[in-house]
Amino acid sequence: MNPGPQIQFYLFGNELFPITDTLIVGWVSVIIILLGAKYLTSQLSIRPNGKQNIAEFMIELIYQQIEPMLPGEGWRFLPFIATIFIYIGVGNLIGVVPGVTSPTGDLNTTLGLALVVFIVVQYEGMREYGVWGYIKGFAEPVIFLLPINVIGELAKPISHSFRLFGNIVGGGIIITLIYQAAPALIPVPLHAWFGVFVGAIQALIFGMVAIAYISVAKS
Amino acid sequence: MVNINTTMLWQLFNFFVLLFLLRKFLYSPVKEILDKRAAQINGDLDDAEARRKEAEEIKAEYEQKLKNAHTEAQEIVDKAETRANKKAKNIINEAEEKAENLKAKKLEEIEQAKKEAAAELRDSIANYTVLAANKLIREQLDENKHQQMIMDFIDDLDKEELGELR
Repeated sequence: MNPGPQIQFYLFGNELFPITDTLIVGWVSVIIILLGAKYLTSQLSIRPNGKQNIAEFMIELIYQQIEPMLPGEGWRFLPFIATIFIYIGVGNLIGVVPGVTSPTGDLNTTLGLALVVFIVVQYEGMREYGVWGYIKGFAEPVIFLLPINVIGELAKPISHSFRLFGNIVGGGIIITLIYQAAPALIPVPLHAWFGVFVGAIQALIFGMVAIAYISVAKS
Repeated sequence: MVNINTTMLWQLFNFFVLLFLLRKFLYSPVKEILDKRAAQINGDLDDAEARRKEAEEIKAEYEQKLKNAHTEAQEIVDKAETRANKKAKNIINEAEEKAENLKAKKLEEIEQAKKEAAAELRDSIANYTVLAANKLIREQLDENKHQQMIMDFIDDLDKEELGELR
Protein backbone atom coordinates (compact mmCIF):
# COMPACT_ATOMS: atom_id res chain seq x y z
CA MET A 1 0.00 0.00 0.00
CA ASN A 2 1.28 3.37 -1.00
CA PRO A 3 -0.87 6.21 0.32
CA GLY A 4 -0.79 9.63 -1.26
CA PRO A 5 -0.93 10.63 -4.89
CA GLN A 6 -0.45 7.93 -7.49
CA ILE A 7 1.20 8.82 -10.77
CA GLN A 8 -1.15 7.87 -13.61
CA PHE A 9 0.97 8.85 -16.60
CA TYR A 10 3.58 11.34 -17.70
CA LEU A 11 2.65 14.34 -19.80
CA PHE A 12 4.50 14.22 -23.13
CA GLY A 13 6.16 11.10 -21.74
CA ASN A 14 8.39 13.48 -19.80
CA GLU A 15 9.26 12.41 -16.25
CA LEU A 16 9.21 16.10 -15.27
CA PHE A 17 5.45 16.26 -15.81
CA PRO A 18 3.84 13.44 -13.90
CA ILE A 19 0.06 13.46 -13.89
CA THR A 20 -1.23 12.11 -10.61
CA ASP A 21 -4.72 10.96 -9.68
CA THR A 22 -4.96 13.93 -7.32
CA LEU A 23 -4.31 16.31 -10.20
CA ILE A 24 -6.96 14.68 -12.37
CA VAL A 25 -9.44 14.87 -9.49
CA GLY A 26 -8.36 18.49 -9.05
CA TRP A 27 -9.34 19.22 -12.63
CA VAL A 28 -12.64 17.40 -12.14
CA SER A 29 -13.21 19.49 -8.99
CA VAL A 30 -12.54 22.69 -10.92
CA ILE A 31 -15.00 21.65 -13.61
CA ILE A 32 -17.63 20.68 -11.02
CA ILE A 33 -17.18 24.00 -9.21
CA LEU A 34 -17.42 26.02 -12.40
CA LEU A 35 -20.51 24.15 -13.58
CA GLY A 36 -22.06 24.61 -10.14
CA ALA A 37 -21.25 28.33 -10.14
CA LYS A 38 -22.61 28.69 -13.66
CA TYR A 39 -25.79 26.89 -12.67
CA LEU A 40 -26.33 28.82 -9.43
CA THR A 41 -25.81 32.20 -11.09
CA SER A 42 -27.55 31.50 -14.38
CA GLN A 43 -30.60 33.60 -13.62
CA LEU A 44 -29.68 36.34 -11.20
CA SER A 45 -32.40 38.80 -10.33
CA ILE A 46 -33.12 41.40 -7.69
CA ARG A 47 -35.74 39.06 -6.25
CA PRO A 48 -33.73 35.90 -5.67
CA ASN A 49 -35.00 32.46 -6.59
CA GLY A 50 -33.98 29.16 -5.01
CA LYS A 51 -30.55 28.53 -6.49
CA GLN A 52 -29.59 32.20 -6.38
CA ASN A 53 -30.27 32.10 -2.65
CA ILE A 54 -27.71 29.29 -2.32
CA ALA A 55 -25.07 31.30 -4.20
CA GLU A 56 -25.81 34.46 -2.18
CA PHE A 57 -25.84 32.50 1.06
CA MET A 58 -22.44 30.99 0.32
CA ILE A 59 -20.87 34.27 -0.74
CA GLU A 60 -22.29 36.12 2.25
CA LEU A 61 -21.27 33.35 4.64
CA ILE A 62 -17.66 33.59 3.44
CA TYR A 63 -17.88 37.39 3.47
CA GLN A 64 -19.02 37.27 7.09
CA GLN A 65 -15.90 35.27 7.98
CA ILE A 66 -13.57 37.79 6.32
CA GLU A 67 -15.15 41.10 7.28
CA PRO A 68 -14.67 40.90 11.09
CA MET A 69 -10.99 39.95 10.71
CA LEU A 70 -10.20 42.40 7.93
CA PRO A 71 -12.62 45.27 8.53
CA GLY A 72 -13.64 47.15 5.40
CA GLU A 73 -11.75 44.81 3.10
CA GLY A 74 -14.17 41.90 3.00
CA TRP A 75 -15.03 42.32 -0.65
CA ARG A 76 -11.41 42.89 -1.67
CA PHE A 77 -10.27 39.57 -0.20
CA LEU A 78 -13.45 37.67 -0.94
CA PRO A 79 -12.44 36.21 -4.34
CA PHE A 80 -9.15 34.90 -2.98
CA ILE A 81 -10.48 33.51 0.30
CA ALA A 82 -13.70 32.18 -1.22
CA THR A 83 -11.78 30.34 -3.92
CA ILE A 84 -9.65 28.72 -1.21
CA PHE A 85 -12.77 27.74 0.73
CA ILE A 86 -14.58 26.38 -2.31
CA TYR A 87 -11.65 24.62 -3.97
CA ILE A 88 -10.45 22.95 -0.79
CA GLY A 89 -13.98 22.20 0.36
CA VAL A 90 -14.91 20.50 -2.88
CA GLY A 91 -11.47 18.86 -3.06
CA ASN A 92 -11.96 17.42 0.42
CA LEU A 93 -15.57 16.34 -0.02
CA ILE A 94 -15.00 14.69 -3.37
CA GLY A 95 -12.85 12.17 -1.51
CA VAL A 96 -16.07 10.70 -0.07
CA VAL A 97 -16.71 9.11 -3.43
CA PRO A 98 -15.13 5.66 -3.19
CA GLY A 99 -12.01 5.24 -5.28
CA VAL A 100 -11.46 8.99 -5.63
CA THR A 101 -8.43 10.58 -3.97
CA SER A 102 -8.84 14.10 -2.65
CA PRO A 103 -6.64 16.62 -4.44
CA THR A 104 -5.91 17.98 -0.97
CA GLY A 105 -4.41 14.64 -0.04
CA ASP A 106 -1.42 15.74 -2.09
CA LEU A 107 1.19 17.98 -0.50
CA ASN A 108 1.71 19.65 -3.88
CA THR A 109 -1.80 21.08 -3.68
CA THR A 110 -1.76 22.17 -0.07
CA LEU A 111 1.78 23.53 -0.08
CA GLY A 112 1.13 25.33 -3.32
CA LEU A 113 -1.92 27.03 -1.85
CA ALA A 114 -0.11 27.72 1.40
CA LEU A 115 2.72 29.37 -0.53
CA VAL A 116 0.23 31.53 -2.41
CA VAL A 117 -1.25 32.56 0.94
CA PHE A 118 2.28 33.19 2.24
CA ILE A 119 3.06 35.49 -0.70
CA VAL A 120 -0.25 37.31 -0.28
CA VAL A 121 0.48 37.74 3.43
CA GLN A 122 3.93 39.23 2.74
CA TYR A 123 2.47 41.49 0.05
CA GLU A 124 -0.32 42.72 2.32
CA GLY A 125 2.11 43.32 5.16
CA MET A 126 4.37 45.39 2.93
CA ARG A 127 1.39 47.18 1.46
CA GLU A 128 0.29 48.15 4.96
CA TYR A 129 3.65 49.18 6.47
CA GLY A 130 5.93 49.64 3.47
CA VAL A 131 8.67 47.16 2.55
CA TRP A 132 11.17 48.39 5.09
CA GLY A 133 8.57 48.93 7.79
CA TYR A 134 7.29 45.39 7.34
CA ILE A 135 10.76 43.83 7.45
CA LYS A 136 11.63 45.93 10.49
CA GLY A 137 8.57 44.48 12.18
CA PHE A 138 10.37 41.12 12.44
CA ALA A 139 13.01 42.72 14.68
CA GLU A 140 10.49 43.84 17.24
CA PRO A 141 10.20 44.13 20.16
CA VAL A 142 13.96 43.40 20.40
CA ILE A 143 16.49 42.72 17.67
CA PHE A 144 17.58 39.27 18.83
CA LEU A 145 14.06 37.95 18.23
CA LEU A 146 14.62 38.48 14.51
CA PRO A 147 15.65 34.88 13.66
CA ILE A 148 12.84 33.44 15.74
CA ASN A 149 10.30 35.71 14.07
CA VAL A 150 11.61 34.84 10.61
CA ILE A 151 11.50 31.11 11.36
CA GLY A 152 7.99 31.56 12.77
CA GLU A 153 6.93 33.31 9.58
CA LEU A 154 8.50 30.64 7.37
CA ALA A 155 6.88 27.90 9.44
CA LYS A 156 3.45 29.29 8.67
CA PRO A 157 3.06 27.87 5.14
CA ILE A 158 4.51 24.58 6.30
CA SER A 159 2.13 24.15 9.21
CA HIS A 160 -0.65 25.55 7.05
CA SER A 161 -0.14 23.04 4.27
CA PHE A 162 0.77 19.99 6.37
CA ARG A 163 -2.26 20.41 8.61
CA LEU A 164 -4.65 19.98 5.70
CA PHE A 165 -2.52 17.39 3.94
CA GLY A 166 -2.03 15.33 7.08
CA ASN A 167 -5.70 15.36 8.02
CA ILE A 168 -6.87 14.25 4.60
CA VAL A 169 -4.16 11.66 4.01
CA GLY A 170 -4.39 10.43 7.59
CA GLY A 171 -8.15 10.08 7.27
CA GLY A 172 -7.66 8.18 4.02
CA ILE A 173 -5.10 5.85 5.59
CA ILE A 174 -7.31 5.13 8.60
CA ILE A 175 -10.28 4.39 6.36
CA THR A 176 -8.21 2.13 4.13
CA LEU A 177 -6.92 0.25 7.16
CA ILE A 178 -10.37 -0.20 8.62
CA TYR A 179 -11.82 -1.27 5.29
CA GLN A 180 -9.24 -4.01 5.27
CA ALA A 181 -9.63 -4.92 8.92
CA ALA A 182 -13.35 -4.65 9.63
CA PRO A 183 -16.52 -5.63 7.83
CA ALA A 184 -18.26 -2.99 5.73
CA LEU A 185 -20.57 -2.00 8.62
CA ILE A 186 -18.19 0.26 10.53
CA PRO A 187 -16.27 1.95 7.67
CA VAL A 188 -19.31 3.62 6.13
CA PRO A 189 -20.04 6.05 9.01
CA LEU A 190 -16.30 6.37 9.55
CA HIS A 191 -15.80 7.20 5.91
CA ALA A 192 -18.57 9.76 6.15
CA TRP A 193 -16.88 11.18 9.26
CA PHE A 194 -13.48 11.56 7.66
CA GLY A 195 -14.83 12.51 4.28
CA VAL A 196 -17.59 14.98 5.11
CA PHE A 197 -16.95 16.26 8.61
CA VAL A 198 -13.16 16.39 8.66
CA GLY A 199 -13.18 17.59 5.07
CA ALA A 200 -15.55 20.49 5.82
CA ILE A 201 -13.73 21.38 9.04
CA GLN A 202 -10.31 21.35 7.39
CA ALA A 203 -11.49 23.50 4.50
CA LEU A 204 -12.90 25.97 7.02
CA ILE A 205 -9.68 25.92 9.04
CA PHE A 206 -7.46 26.41 6.00
CA GLY A 207 -9.50 29.43 4.89
CA MET A 208 -9.79 30.92 8.38
CA VAL A 209 -6.06 30.51 8.97
CA ALA A 210 -5.35 32.24 5.67
CA ILE A 211 -7.58 35.16 6.78
CA ALA A 212 -5.86 35.18 10.17
CA TYR A 213 -2.39 35.30 8.61
CA ILE A 214 -3.36 38.24 6.43
CA SER A 215 -5.00 39.94 9.38
CA VAL A 216 -1.91 39.43 11.56
CA ALA A 217 0.39 40.80 8.85
CA LYS A 218 -1.76 43.93 8.61
CA SER A 219 -2.01 44.62 12.32
CA MET B 1 3.69 9.85 -0.09
CA VAL B 2 5.34 13.25 0.27
CA ASN B 3 6.71 13.99 -3.14
CA ILE B 4 6.98 17.55 -4.34
CA ASN B 5 7.03 17.84 -8.10
CA THR B 6 5.60 19.86 -10.97
CA THR B 7 2.02 18.94 -10.07
CA MET B 8 2.27 21.79 -7.57
CA LEU B 9 2.45 24.17 -10.53
CA TRP B 10 -0.51 22.42 -12.08
CA GLN B 11 -2.47 22.77 -8.88
CA LEU B 12 -1.56 26.44 -8.66
CA PHE B 13 -2.63 26.82 -12.25
CA ASN B 14 -5.92 25.13 -11.34
CA PHE B 15 -6.32 27.46 -8.41
CA PHE B 16 -5.69 30.65 -10.37
CA VAL B 17 -7.89 29.55 -13.27
CA LEU B 18 -10.60 28.81 -10.74
CA LEU B 19 -10.00 32.15 -9.04
CA PHE B 20 -10.26 33.99 -12.35
CA LEU B 21 -13.33 32.15 -13.59
CA LEU B 22 -15.19 32.20 -10.26
CA ARG B 23 -14.53 35.90 -10.00
CA LYS B 24 -16.09 36.29 -13.40
CA PHE B 25 -19.01 33.89 -12.99
CA LEU B 26 -19.76 33.87 -9.27
CA TYR B 27 -18.32 36.63 -7.12
CA SER B 28 -18.78 39.62 -9.39
CA PRO B 29 -22.34 38.83 -10.48
CA VAL B 30 -23.43 37.97 -6.94
CA LYS B 31 -21.75 41.06 -5.52
CA GLU B 32 -23.33 43.13 -8.24
CA ILE B 33 -26.78 41.76 -7.57
CA LEU B 34 -26.33 42.21 -3.79
CA ASP B 35 -25.22 45.80 -4.31
CA LYS B 36 -28.05 46.41 -6.71
CA ARG B 37 -30.54 45.00 -4.26
CA ALA B 38 -29.09 47.03 -1.41
CA ALA B 39 -29.22 50.13 -3.57
CA GLN B 40 -32.80 49.39 -4.56
CA ILE B 41 -33.83 48.78 -0.97
CA ASN B 42 -32.10 51.98 0.06
CA GLY B 43 -33.78 53.78 -2.78
CA ASP B 44 -37.14 52.31 -1.85
CA LEU B 45 -36.68 53.28 1.77
CA ASP B 46 -35.65 56.80 0.81
CA ASP B 47 -38.56 56.95 -1.56
CA ALA B 48 -40.93 55.74 1.13
CA GLU B 49 -39.53 58.30 3.54
CA ALA B 50 -39.92 61.05 0.97
CA ARG B 51 -43.46 59.93 0.20
CA ARG B 52 -44.31 59.80 3.87
CA LYS B 53 -43.03 63.34 4.30
CA GLU B 54 -44.91 64.46 1.24
CA ALA B 55 -48.06 62.80 2.52
CA GLU B 56 -47.63 64.49 5.87
CA GLU B 57 -47.20 67.84 4.18
CA ILE B 58 -50.26 67.25 2.06
CA LYS B 59 -52.19 66.15 5.12
CA ALA B 60 -51.15 69.25 7.03
CA GLU B 61 -52.06 71.37 4.02
CA TYR B 62 -55.46 69.76 3.72
CA GLU B 63 -56.09 70.06 7.43
CA GLN B 64 -55.25 73.75 7.17
CA LYS B 65 -57.51 74.07 4.17
CA LEU B 66 -60.27 72.23 5.97
CA LYS B 67 -59.84 74.48 8.96
CA ASN B 68 -59.92 77.52 6.70
CA ALA B 69 -62.98 76.17 4.99
CA HIS B 70 -64.66 75.65 8.35
CA THR B 71 -63.81 79.16 9.40
CA GLU B 72 -64.98 80.53 6.10
CA ALA B 73 -68.17 78.53 6.25
CA GLN B 74 -68.74 79.77 9.79
CA GLU B 75 -68.12 83.31 8.60
CA ILE B 76 -70.54 82.87 5.74
CA VAL B 77 -73.14 81.43 8.07
CA ASP B 78 -72.60 84.24 10.55
CA LYS B 79 -72.80 86.83 7.83
CA ALA B 80 -75.90 85.28 6.38
CA GLU B 81 -77.46 85.12 9.80
CA THR B 82 -76.61 88.72 10.50
CA ARG B 83 -77.94 89.75 7.16
CA ALA B 84 -81.06 87.70 7.60
CA ASN B 85 -81.58 89.15 11.05
CA LYS B 86 -81.09 92.63 9.72
CA LYS B 87 -83.44 92.00 6.86
CA ALA B 88 -86.01 90.47 9.14
CA LYS B 89 -85.74 93.43 11.44
CA ASN B 90 -86.08 95.74 8.49
CA ILE B 91 -89.08 93.88 7.26
CA ILE B 92 -90.65 93.96 10.69
CA ASN B 93 -89.84 97.61 11.07
CA GLU B 94 -91.25 98.37 7.69
CA ALA B 95 -94.33 96.35 8.39
CA GLU B 96 -94.75 98.02 11.73
CA GLU B 97 -94.31 101.40 10.14
CA LYS B 98 -96.74 100.54 7.43
CA ALA B 99 -99.20 99.26 9.95
CA GLU B 100 -98.69 102.38 12.02
CA ASN B 101 -99.21 104.54 9.01
CA LEU B 102 -102.25 102.60 8.02
CA LYS B 103 -103.61 102.81 11.51
CA ALA B 104 -102.97 106.49 11.68
CA LYS B 105 -104.57 107.02 8.32
CA LYS B 106 -107.56 104.94 9.29
CA LEU B 107 -107.86 106.77 12.58
CA GLU B 108 -107.72 110.01 10.75
CA GLU B 109 -110.37 108.81 8.37
CA ILE B 110 -112.45 107.69 11.26
CA GLU B 111 -111.94 111.01 12.94
CA GLN B 112 -112.86 112.75 9.77
CA ALA B 113 -115.90 110.63 9.34
CA LYS B 114 -116.85 111.20 12.92
CA LYS B 115 -116.43 114.92 12.50
CA GLU B 116 -118.41 114.89 9.34
CA ALA B 117 -121.07 112.80 10.90
CA ALA B 118 -121.16 115.07 13.93
CA ALA B 119 -121.35 118.14 11.74
CA GLU B 120 -124.09 116.61 9.67
CA LEU B 121 -125.92 115.57 12.75
CA ARG B 122 -125.62 119.03 14.21
CA ASP B 123 -126.83 120.59 11.03
CA SER B 124 -129.74 118.19 10.86
CA ILE B 125 -130.57 118.75 14.49
CA ALA B 126 -130.40 122.50 14.03
CA ASN B 127 -132.62 122.28 11.00
CA TYR B 128 -135.08 120.05 12.74
CA THR B 129 -135.03 122.22 15.82
CA VAL B 130 -135.67 125.32 13.73
CA LEU B 131 -138.39 123.50 11.90
CA ALA B 132 -139.90 122.20 15.12
CA ALA B 133 -139.56 125.56 16.74
CA ASN B 134 -141.14 127.20 13.77
CA LYS B 135 -143.93 124.73 13.78
CA LEU B 136 -144.49 125.09 17.51
CA ILE B 137 -144.35 128.76 17.37
CA ARG B 138 -146.65 128.79 14.42
CA GLU B 139 -149.05 126.47 16.14
CA GLN B 140 -149.10 127.88 19.66
CA LEU B 141 -148.03 131.42 19.53
CA ASP B 142 -151.00 133.73 19.26
CA GLU B 143 -150.94 137.28 20.43
CA ASN B 144 -152.21 136.64 23.86
CA LYS B 145 -150.04 133.88 24.66
CA HIS B 146 -147.12 135.80 23.31
CA GLN B 147 -147.97 138.68 25.47
CA GLN B 148 -148.37 136.55 28.46
CA MET B 149 -145.05 134.82 27.92
CA ILE B 150 -143.17 138.04 27.57
CA MET B 151 -144.76 139.30 30.63
CA ASP B 152 -143.96 136.22 32.59
CA PHE B 153 -140.38 136.48 31.55
CA ILE B 154 -140.19 140.07 32.63
CA ASP B 155 -141.79 139.16 35.90
CA ASP B 156 -139.33 136.46 36.51
CA LEU B 157 -136.58 138.87 35.93
CA ASP B 158 -138.10 141.29 38.47
CA LYS B 159 -138.70 138.72 41.09
CA GLU B 160 -135.13 137.60 41.13
CA GLU B 161 -132.01 139.68 41.01
CA LEU B 162 -132.86 142.34 38.59
CA GLY B 163 -130.11 143.56 36.32
CA GLU B 164 -127.97 140.64 37.00
CA LEU B 165 -128.01 138.73 33.81
CA ARG B 166 -127.20 135.13 33.97
